[in-house]
Amino acid sequence: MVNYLLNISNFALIYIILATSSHLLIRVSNQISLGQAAFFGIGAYITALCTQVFHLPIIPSLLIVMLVNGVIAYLIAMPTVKLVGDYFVMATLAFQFIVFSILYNWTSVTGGSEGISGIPSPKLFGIDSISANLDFFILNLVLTLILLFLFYKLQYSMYGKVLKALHINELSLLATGRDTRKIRISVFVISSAFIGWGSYLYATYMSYIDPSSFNIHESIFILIAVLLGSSEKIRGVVIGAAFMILLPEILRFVQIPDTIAAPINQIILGILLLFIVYFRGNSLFSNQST
Amino acid sequence: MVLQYLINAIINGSIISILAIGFALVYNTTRIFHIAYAALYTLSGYVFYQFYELNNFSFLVALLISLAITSIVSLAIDLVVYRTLNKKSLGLHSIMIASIALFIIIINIIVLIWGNSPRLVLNEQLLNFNLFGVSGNRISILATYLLILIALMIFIKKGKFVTIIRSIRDNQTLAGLMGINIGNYRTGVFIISGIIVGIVGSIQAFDVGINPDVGLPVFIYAFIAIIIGGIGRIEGAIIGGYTLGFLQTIAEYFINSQWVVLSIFVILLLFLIYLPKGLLPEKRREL
Repeated sequence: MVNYLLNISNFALIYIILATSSHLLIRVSNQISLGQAAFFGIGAYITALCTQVFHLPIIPSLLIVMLVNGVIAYLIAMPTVKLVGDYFVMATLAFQFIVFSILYNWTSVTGGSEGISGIPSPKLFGIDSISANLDFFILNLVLTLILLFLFYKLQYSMYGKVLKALHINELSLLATGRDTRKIRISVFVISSAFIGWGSYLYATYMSYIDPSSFNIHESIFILIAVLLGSSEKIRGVVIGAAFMILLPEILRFVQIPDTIAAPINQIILGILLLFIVYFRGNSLFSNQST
Repeated sequence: MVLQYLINAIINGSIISILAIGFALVYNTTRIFHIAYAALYTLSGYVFYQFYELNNFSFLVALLISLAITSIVSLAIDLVVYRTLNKKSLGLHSIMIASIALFIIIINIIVLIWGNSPRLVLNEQLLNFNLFGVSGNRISILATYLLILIALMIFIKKGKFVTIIRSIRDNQTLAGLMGINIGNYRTGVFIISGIIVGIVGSIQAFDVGINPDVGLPVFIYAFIAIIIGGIGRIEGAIIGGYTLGFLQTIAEYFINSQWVVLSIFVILLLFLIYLPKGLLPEKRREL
């Protein structure tokens, strides 16, 4: 029972990291991305490389994952941030499919559809490996809290205020002499880099990764997790992400048969999303960017 | 062998072109990133499968039922969801999210009804002839698609309907003031796009089978075709569609088929970045 709860909590914390990072891009900077799972996937495969091949401990691995994700995000963002609305969605969708295709088809490096197994558990300060559920939970919790703290601080920093201005009215921000293009690129990079934390935790916790965890559906789920909280505040995202993980367990608890649990779960999410758009649509995105 | 590849290329190109036109109708009128369109494609295939394969109806009857259901659902999506949200004057971003939600809901209802595993239409002995080693079915499918494309061309080029739709897109208030009943035209657009997606979805289910995941890639290809060809002109959708169809087939023929998707999306990214208006940008006077 304890293990079961710890297991769910671990997944929920990982999802909170993914959603909080994506929240910055999707809600704050108003750019709907359907390519978040691509960064999640790249990070996971880089984690496998760092820990399995180079046997790096946790902090260097995290930094390398953030660096790689950030650089890739920068290269993608440079040409695409100028795109608005649907075109940006399409560009991120293209990126999502490109990454998935590479993960799936470049068998000699990524293991293709079979993925990579035997990813070692995190190593930290001489502790050889953090493999027990409880130990991992503590590590996970610490990292999540650090991330939440960073993003919380960011909201109230000067940079956060600039972002808020970008969210509310991009034109007047431009008029104050800020380069909104650079700000958008920086948001994309920060968001993708911190998704790498989620990747690291996911890969080392599962010890097995394959491309199917990083497909377009995962991108959609991350988007839903960001929007479910329907609040600009980070706590909304935390609740949304946790709910995404809890909902299947609730369905299992009320004894919906396993065969139909997955579609029912997604239908509920879809309906919730519709309600959120209906009741909170005005505050979801600022209207000027469309 | 070459002939077969050629026919494949033309069929693929026609599918993408037709779907692109159906999507462009909605997109140009409402500016909604109508992802639920992909779910309609899947739905039409399953409805056709249900009536043709499981209930043993004739091809034509099954197709008509499928078209009816798809266009009704398409219209319902607009009436119940899009227009409600429009009335609340929500931004297009929010409506896109609603469309994604509808996509998820429809696809999962399909999974609930028909299950997750791929389904094949088996009793497809329709036409028992061969032409240069190509089966009669393939040829009649090809002919059907070309006929639909020609019909759509005539409909869009000659009819008044599309002119009015353009005026609605350009200035909804002004079009309303000119006495155009915008609601009725919107209804027409969603029914027609439902029929278009229903035809292709049903024939594809008949030809290559169906699974819950078929919709999204096809939708994405259709949107890519519009971006490559240029938004706002039917020739653009057709040129984009055939470019993709031939590219797909050539890539399958010369390089490994597993890299086809990758090459198409790389081309999309290049277009988005360097030629966002596509090959045939719409000529418009600036106001």
